[in-house]
Amino acid sequence: MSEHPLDPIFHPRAVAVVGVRSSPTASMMGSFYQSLLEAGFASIGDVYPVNPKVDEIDGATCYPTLLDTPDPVDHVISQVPASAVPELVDQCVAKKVRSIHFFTAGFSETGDENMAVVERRMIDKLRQANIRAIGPNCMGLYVPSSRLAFMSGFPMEAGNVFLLSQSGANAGEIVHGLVSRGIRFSKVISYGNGADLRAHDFLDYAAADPESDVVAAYIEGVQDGRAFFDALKRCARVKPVVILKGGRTQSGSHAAHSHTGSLAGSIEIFDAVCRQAGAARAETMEELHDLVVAATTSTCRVTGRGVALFGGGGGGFAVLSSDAIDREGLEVPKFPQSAIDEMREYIPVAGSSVNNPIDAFPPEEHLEDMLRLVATAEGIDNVFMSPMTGWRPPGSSSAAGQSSGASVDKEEDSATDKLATKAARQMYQLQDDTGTPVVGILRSGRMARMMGLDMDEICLAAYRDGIGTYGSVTRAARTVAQMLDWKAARKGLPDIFGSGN
Amino acid sequence: MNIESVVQQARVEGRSLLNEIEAKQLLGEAGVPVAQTVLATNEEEARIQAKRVGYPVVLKIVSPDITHKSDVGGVKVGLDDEAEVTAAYAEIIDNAKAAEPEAAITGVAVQHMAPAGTEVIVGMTTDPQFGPVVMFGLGGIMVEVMKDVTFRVVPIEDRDATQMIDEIKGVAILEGVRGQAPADKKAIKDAILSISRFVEAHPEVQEIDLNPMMVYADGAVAVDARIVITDS
Repeated sequence: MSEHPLDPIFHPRAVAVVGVRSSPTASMMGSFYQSLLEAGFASIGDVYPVNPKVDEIDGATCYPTLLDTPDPVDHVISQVPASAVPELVDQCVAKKVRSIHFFTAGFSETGDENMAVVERRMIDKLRQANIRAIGPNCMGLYVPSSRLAFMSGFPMEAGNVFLLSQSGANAGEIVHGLVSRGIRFSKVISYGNGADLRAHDFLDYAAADPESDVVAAYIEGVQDGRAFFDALKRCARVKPVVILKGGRTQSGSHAAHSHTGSLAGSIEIFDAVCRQAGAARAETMEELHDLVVAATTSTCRVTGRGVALFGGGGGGFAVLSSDAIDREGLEVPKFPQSAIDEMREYIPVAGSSVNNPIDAFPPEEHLEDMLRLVATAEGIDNVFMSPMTGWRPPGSSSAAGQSSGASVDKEEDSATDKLATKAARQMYQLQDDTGTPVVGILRSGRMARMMGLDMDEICLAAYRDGIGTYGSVTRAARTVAQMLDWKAARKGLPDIFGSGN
Repeated sequence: MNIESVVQQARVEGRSLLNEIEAKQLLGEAGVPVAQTVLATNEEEARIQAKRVGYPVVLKIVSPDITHKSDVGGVKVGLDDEAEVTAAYAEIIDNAKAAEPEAAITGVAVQHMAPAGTEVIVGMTTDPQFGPVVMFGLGGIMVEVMKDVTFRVVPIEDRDATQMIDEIKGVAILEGVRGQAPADKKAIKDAILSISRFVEAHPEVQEIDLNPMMVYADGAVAVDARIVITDS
């Protein structure tokens, strides 16, 4: 297989951090050297700190200049001030590096025409030497399989989601937010001003990258519209692409200009570009998270608007949930009488409802039958399901967190884990038995904790089983509706979701 | 009339706006349905052309210096015979001269008057980031007040054109309300696709306006058209 021209950037043999900070803490933004060590890059290649004012960092030699480091150096992270960048660029050319990431800011994004010229000149010089640049004004690369990380606390387990982000802080927020939902990444790039490599280059790479199945993007402005359109079209044709566009409002677009020097452009045209390419557009950070979860779980296989809501929090919750589902453009159809009659055999109790939404707690021995009835009832395309109190382990009468003593805590932890696994398995089993997509509703908070349910654990367990879970009925309904709209808008393009495009 | 010579002529005359006759001619050749419109430079020509395009006819002032033709009294509609055409011609020229004494007057456009249909707008503009973009919307109040329009970037594919028509909020109007027959969506789609192909082939075209295009149960026809080209 021929290598993509950008592939070497993601697989450096050695990295130099120039202008490294001597502070050993990896917790702050810009502590690239420490983040690389924490990620374990040393097990793959060499990492050289460079700073003329520092002799050594944590016992490791700190080199005065890039030219003093051993050969080869493939990737350079620039933390020097903007005024020192021209000299560093010359050194990169002499050192024959393959790529440079400029954390350094203060170029075109400042609006200073002189600095924009400096930016263009340094990029020209690098291009002539065949050196690709990421940035300036960005956080660079997080590639777990290559042990590259730009922040502390990123997992080193590789996954299948590719993320490109113009903003470094938003890249961090997306990574942390999605990791807590169970998602792992193939490659993450924060590219800031995009003076050399920009959105279309990364989309082009992602389209061809066998390690990336789903693409997420945070974009403020598109520098090269036609190239972006073409690359997005190629990528979204074969992989789900979810885009969060910053600078949609006048205030937002003003902020985008001073942030990454981006002209945010007309939002109507950007939306048209996404629709045409077959990409999904998220309106908020929360929507981006939910859509990426959907695209990587069975939520992407939804085919219709009929929702059965099962398990909940009483009659009032059922009413509000029905409103929410309806508001987002889905439906809560009535069950056929035959299904209701059958359910009544399991739940004879007056005061509970076996209409949709089901506000009743069936005895545990009938739960599976009930679920199956609901999931296969006429008019039901998806099951929205909350974990139920019936799953609380017998004997644990005290609420989690109220007990004291390490051994009791441990016992409770494992009980909570088991409960999470059981809740997740129930969703998976139902989906597997009936073929109806199951969408998890996980409302975390004090009530959940009192019932002994750790929603974060259930979320992760469900994700491992391929089930998407969402923090509220509204978010679940919106995500399912967006998925259906997305698939409808893709009519005529290849089916990338594995069913009913 | 080929586009190169029209563009060259306009540039020689220092115009970036093609006149209605030129615009309709080029768009007609590109497959966009346009009402047949010909130039008359005197009353007699106006009578001859009216007979050619067929009564009833519309007469409109043609001048590089007059953009809003109705505002200067430069449009006369529903002309049914030679006498009305003769009178209308003289009146249009007088009105234009009175309103814009400095304006150069090319002549008067004679057009067969298309019957009323569902009014839509098909347009094209050049986006600073994405280049040529085609716009579609319902005409009149729907576009002016409701901003009920939709866009796609050129080149537009069949599926894009279909979606454009179906995603406007007022799509029900096209599908026939109050017993009206549904409008010919395929004719709209074909017009959108023809515009897309036309601007793809001619990067010097910067803006197009078909406003309005009348859509019928069967077919469509653009009754007014303008094209703006780049300066060089």
